[in-house]
Amino acid sequence: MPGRKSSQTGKKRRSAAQAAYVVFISHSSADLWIAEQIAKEVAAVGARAWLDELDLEGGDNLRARIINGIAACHEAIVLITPQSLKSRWVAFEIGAAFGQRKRVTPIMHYVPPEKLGILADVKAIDLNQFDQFLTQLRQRVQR
Amino acid sequence: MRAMSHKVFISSTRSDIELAKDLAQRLRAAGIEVFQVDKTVVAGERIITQVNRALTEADEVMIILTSESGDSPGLLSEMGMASALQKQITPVVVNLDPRQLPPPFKQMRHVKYADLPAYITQLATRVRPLGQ
Repeated sequence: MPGRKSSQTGKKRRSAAQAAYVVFISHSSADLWIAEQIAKEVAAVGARAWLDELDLEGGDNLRARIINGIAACHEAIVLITPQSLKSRWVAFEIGAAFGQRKRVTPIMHYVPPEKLGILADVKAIDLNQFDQFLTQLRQRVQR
Repeated sequence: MRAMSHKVFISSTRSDIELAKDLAQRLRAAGIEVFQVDKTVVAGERIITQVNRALTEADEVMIILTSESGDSPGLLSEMGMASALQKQITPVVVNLDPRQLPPPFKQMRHVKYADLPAYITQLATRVRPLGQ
């Protein structure tokens, strides 16, 4: 039946479009569990999370992988914790996200706002208010 | 014939500003355009969007790398930005064993501070038009 088919096609298209909305999650390896929970919540609103277990040794391949990962995403989340503030790769990823003009949202966890440093002029959200971010993310995903 | 334009952005921490000024002076003496050091972002002092704008205009980013600066979030974010913008990145290594380069800089071609004169001479030759 034509109506039913186009409804299914429409659903498939919307589903594909929603699944294609990618959120890059920058985090310290010390905060992996929290980052994984964030990734689950991001997926629950219809986006796909890019979460990498980094090879901390670095080099050309890792730089390229990060740049390509950020290029493929629509926006980035940075999990800001006392551990990630010391992470060289998190700082690199923040710069790479800005360099590619991606929306960057710091998610703060046990870090006071005055410690944001390079993200001082960016609107941050406390992890305890992550639902607010998810509500906004859902709207972006469904656009 | 117009000279090839080649703008260099120098990235350094606050504590390495004198090294940055020295590098800027050397580059200018060789006829290479440099973003003014007093406007150049010193990591942690300028907002990230201003850095992005400056880096966009640069052809090459020279990063002053010491044993301390490799941990600077500002410096590392500028490197990330420059990488994302596909800029030529040249770490200028000061008193640091190349084997101890921080992970984001590993396997990256770098210049030792002592070898800057030769590097700058080669750079100036590359960007100068033929016959000059």
